[in-house]
Amino acid sequence: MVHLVRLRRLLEVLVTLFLVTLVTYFLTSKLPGNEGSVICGSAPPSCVTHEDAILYLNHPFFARYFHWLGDLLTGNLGNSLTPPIPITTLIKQTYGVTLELIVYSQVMALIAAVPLAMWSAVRANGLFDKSATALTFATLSLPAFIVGPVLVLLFTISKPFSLFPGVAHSLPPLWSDPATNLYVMFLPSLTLAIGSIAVYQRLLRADMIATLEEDFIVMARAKGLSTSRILFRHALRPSTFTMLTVGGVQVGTLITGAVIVEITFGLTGLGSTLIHAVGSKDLPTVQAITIIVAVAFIVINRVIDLLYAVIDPRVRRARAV
Amino acid sequence: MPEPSERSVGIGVGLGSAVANISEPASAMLIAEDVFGTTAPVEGLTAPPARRAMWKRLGWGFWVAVAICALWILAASLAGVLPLPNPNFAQLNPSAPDYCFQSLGHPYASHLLGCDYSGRDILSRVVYGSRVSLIVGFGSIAMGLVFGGALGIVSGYFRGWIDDVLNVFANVFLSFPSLVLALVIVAFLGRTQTDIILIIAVVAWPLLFRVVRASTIEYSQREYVLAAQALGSKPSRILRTLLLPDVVPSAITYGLVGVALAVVAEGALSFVGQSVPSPTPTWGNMIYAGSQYITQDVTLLIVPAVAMFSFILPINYVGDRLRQVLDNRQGVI
Amino acid sequence: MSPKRHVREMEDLDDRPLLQVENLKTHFETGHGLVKAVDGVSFSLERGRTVGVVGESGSGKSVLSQSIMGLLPHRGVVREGRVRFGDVELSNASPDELRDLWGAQISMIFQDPTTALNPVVRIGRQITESLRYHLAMSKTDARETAVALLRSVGLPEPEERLRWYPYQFSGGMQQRIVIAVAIACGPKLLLADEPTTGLDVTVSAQILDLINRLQQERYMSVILITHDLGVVTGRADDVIVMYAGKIVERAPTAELFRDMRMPYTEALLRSAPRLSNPSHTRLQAIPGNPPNPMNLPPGCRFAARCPYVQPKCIAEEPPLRDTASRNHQYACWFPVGSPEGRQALEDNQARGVRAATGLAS
Repeated sequence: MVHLVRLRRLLEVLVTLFLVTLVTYFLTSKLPGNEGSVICGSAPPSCVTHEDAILYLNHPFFARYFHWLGDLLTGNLGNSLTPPIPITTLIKQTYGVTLELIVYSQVMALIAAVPLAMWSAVRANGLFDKSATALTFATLSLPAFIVGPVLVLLFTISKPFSLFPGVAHSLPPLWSDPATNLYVMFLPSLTLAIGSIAVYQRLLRADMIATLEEDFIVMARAKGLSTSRILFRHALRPSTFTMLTVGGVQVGTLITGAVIVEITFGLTGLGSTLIHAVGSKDLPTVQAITIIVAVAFIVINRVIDLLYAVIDPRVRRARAV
Repeated sequence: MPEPSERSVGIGVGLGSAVANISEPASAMLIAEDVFGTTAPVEGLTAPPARRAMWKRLGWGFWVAVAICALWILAASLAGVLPLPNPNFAQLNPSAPDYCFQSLGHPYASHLLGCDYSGRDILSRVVYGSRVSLIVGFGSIAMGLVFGGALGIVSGYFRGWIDDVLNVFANVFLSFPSLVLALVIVAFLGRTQTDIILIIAVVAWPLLFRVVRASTIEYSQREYVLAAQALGSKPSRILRTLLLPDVVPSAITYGLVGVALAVVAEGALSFVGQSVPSPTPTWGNMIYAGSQYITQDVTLLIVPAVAMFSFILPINYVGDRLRQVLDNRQGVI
Repeated sequence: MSPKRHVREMEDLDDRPLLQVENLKTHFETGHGLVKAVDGVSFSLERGRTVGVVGESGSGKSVLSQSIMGLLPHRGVVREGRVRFGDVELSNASPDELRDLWGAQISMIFQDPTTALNPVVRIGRQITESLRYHLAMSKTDARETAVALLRSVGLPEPEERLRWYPYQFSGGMQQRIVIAVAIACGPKLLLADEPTTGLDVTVSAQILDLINRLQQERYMSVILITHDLGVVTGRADDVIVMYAGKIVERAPTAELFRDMRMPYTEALLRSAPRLSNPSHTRLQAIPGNPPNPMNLPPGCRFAARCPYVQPKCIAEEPPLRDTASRNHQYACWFPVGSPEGRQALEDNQARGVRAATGLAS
């Protein structure tokens, strides 16, 4: 019985993946200004015909699609148009920045959100809680493209706060110069983190308030444990599961945010590359980045679903019953 | 506020509690009609006292927020009539009285908030910019609600294979991060205002679909729906008369929050330069421009940012609060 | 880890009782009124003795135990009266002092074992936690003690099961684990709040026997709270019967059953099904409901449901009086077995009156 359910989920995922690739291909295959002319520029028309033939542009849609899919699955993403380098290389060069942005920002967000949420939950409906709720609500109405420039304004322009660089002039890779890297990436990650802090704080607070009313918390108090111990050791863990589920969905918002942040701070990640590709009608690059991002998103969500079952003993119990 | 039990009428086995759950007189009438074959009003089922209490419960903050949103809607609609200089016009003649080229934000008599880097009036651009944001925001959500909402109700009520298919369909769109999807479609479709509305509707519809579907599932499990099904009412009738009155208000409250998200989405698109093309002002592209000129003048960034925030926050609050109050009212049982 | 904690050692109590409760009142301020959950309860408990607190749901017995311990929140709760535990005034103690006592000197076990244990923490940790916190044991010592504890509560294969999660155990096992957690640091007082209500009958008996055995081994005092008179037979030294927040009868167990005075106690006893009754014997439930704790009647609180009721009962509240033997008290104008009581009962039966609701006519 259980296996039937798992098989079904797997099937759903596969179908979704397939459709995602189809939709991406469909949407990006009709770009005005076909690749041939972009590549060839002012070269004679024979060049265009030649390029078009290479790119199967004269074949019916589904033939093209399956060719493309085949290439995709064998790791051949084609070449970008401007600059004409293999897209796989392009992605290798740029995905690191985006990944770092996302991870760095989430770490920041968790470090900030957990204590805020705990204090709000313990003194529920008190002054701190009410202010925190109002503040997080306001923050949720502040998109990354407002927060980013404002942060740049605050930290790089105003003389007393001139702590961080605004636009990233040079970003050394993480492993070769972690200190400078983290320093330069601080403001961009903070921009992304602010939205996440609000989301996490609200969720964790609600979950904690519910957990704190459970019997085992009363039992822990009756054991004479200190408040901080109860909070961290007993109340926190059961309350984190909603955050985990939301984390999966958050990745989508984060990628959107990463695009904005990369533009704001002049970072070369997947996001800014995508923007430039759209602007210059670089179809293969747009296709490739979209697919990579969408597939990553789906996979991450599935992994979180599976993790959820492993991590929460209560879910295991429900299965065991 | 009268308790549901006070309103219950002893209709019969199984329906007694079902009637007690009804908060909409319309639905109650129809049960009566189905059961008695009469449209005589059933006593004690009207809801005015509950409604009055609800408006009061929304709180003063709610009404302030509504006022602010109304102000923006007014400003956007009346932009052409208001005494504002042309948002796209830059006075290049230094000796003209309305010259503020290169003044970059310093207020002049005829330019209340100063001018931008090209000499165009900021206040005027912000007000005209609200037009794009609001039209795109409301338009795309309206479209998304109609399309996603219709599919959501069907999916949530009938379940089964339709639900599975529609879910996968919606999930495909949800698998793309919103901005990425929007960008791809922009490249495909174009950048006129209508295109942008459509694009954001495509990005938004799966979320609205999910929300309406969940809402429908919840309401279909209420006892009066089960009772109506047991009585043999046709699905179309049930949908139209029992579910819609409950699902629609709920969907609208989510829609309002969606408008905030749609405005943000449009802002993001125009921030990266892929929304309606220049010289049309939008809040998003003004913020981008402003962020480039931080060192010279802060107003270019702050004015559109504050403008956008001052619309998004209230409408978020309105939608959220309505949803809270609505949930309380209809979740009483 | 936590710093070494000072465990307060009790000075020799001589013959002072371990626990003294004087006129304890616990009222809750709610939006609808003042809920008088516990309304003037006094009793004392010696070391090594068990007192059973019996009452219906809503009689205030659970609030009593939490109030004695000091576990209730401060906001919205009005507490009066004194609670002395050895030398310590629990009613005045600071939160730190209370925390030192909880788990180490006073422990509590709850009704529902499935919710009393943290579902995401292994049971071994839940036991060693108090050991390391209160007694500053090392990790290894704590682990060994935990194993011994689990063995003493009758859990098979304790070494392996330390790493298990609560959901992997049955209800009865979980309650044993809860007991192990509670007695880990060797408390002198154990408050058992309906420890067997969620369990089936055979398991209940085992759990109660377990508590009895532990009590004797460790010279613990136990307050056994239950709604079932059958639970206290043979397991409690004294019984306190509570109704609507007050004590209505108190006696050593044997004497209570032999010579009960309060009609409520009699009704409770009669309502319990007995194996010795022939099958299909009608259960004699007590008619009516307990009074609203926000709106308590002026006279005897049981009057509305009492078969012995007389007009005096409705008007005046009976005080707690001693019988000839000084350790038996009751609160009734027309007690069971007394001439007035018998007369009252006959009168009511003659008039066909079952309870105070009939008196008005």
